[in-house]
Amino acid sequence: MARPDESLTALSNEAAELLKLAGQYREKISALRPEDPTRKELEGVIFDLLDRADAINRTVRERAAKP
Amino acid sequence: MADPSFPATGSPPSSAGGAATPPATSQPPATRAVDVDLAALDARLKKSESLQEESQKALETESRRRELDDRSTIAKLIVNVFVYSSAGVLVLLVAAAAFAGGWNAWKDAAEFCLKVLSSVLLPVVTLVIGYYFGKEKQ
Repeated sequence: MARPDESLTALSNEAAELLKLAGQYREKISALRPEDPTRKELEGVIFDLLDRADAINRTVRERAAKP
Repeated sequence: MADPSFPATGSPPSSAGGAATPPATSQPPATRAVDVDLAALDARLKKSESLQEESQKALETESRRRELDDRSTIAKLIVNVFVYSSAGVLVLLVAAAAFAGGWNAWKDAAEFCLKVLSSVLLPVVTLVIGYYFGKEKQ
């Protein structure tokens, strides 16, 4: 019968993928030397991914709360 | 040629005009800064994960609410059909008895309608309401 809103589910999955990717990059950062410039770049990428995931999750939460 | 150990936008090494700074003295602050960065990154990651969990929960709640709404609508629809069809049959029977054939013709028609109601509609209503309340308990 009732299924969760498909668009919201898709958005939530997208956010989960972004978080997973951010987690993978976080693991990669640990393997890099502190002075490696790639490290700083990866940090920027991770923060960007997390920002996007948060924005998506906030949208999902707000839209799911609406009757 | 530029020293590859320094970034292109960075300042030149201070050892150009004076004594060379030993790398051991500059290493601890850099490591601490990186640790702080990583700690901030981990904290941010945790925050995002908790937000993800919250949105998942909101999605589940929304799904549950939609399911309950669906069930409620179906149950209301079935019960309304039963009530209105019962009332309609009753009105028709009374009208038929009053205008066509009198009360003697009422008995056969009433039995027929009672059979239809009890054999077709009533099981459906029972089934739907049973399903509705059974699922509610779960």
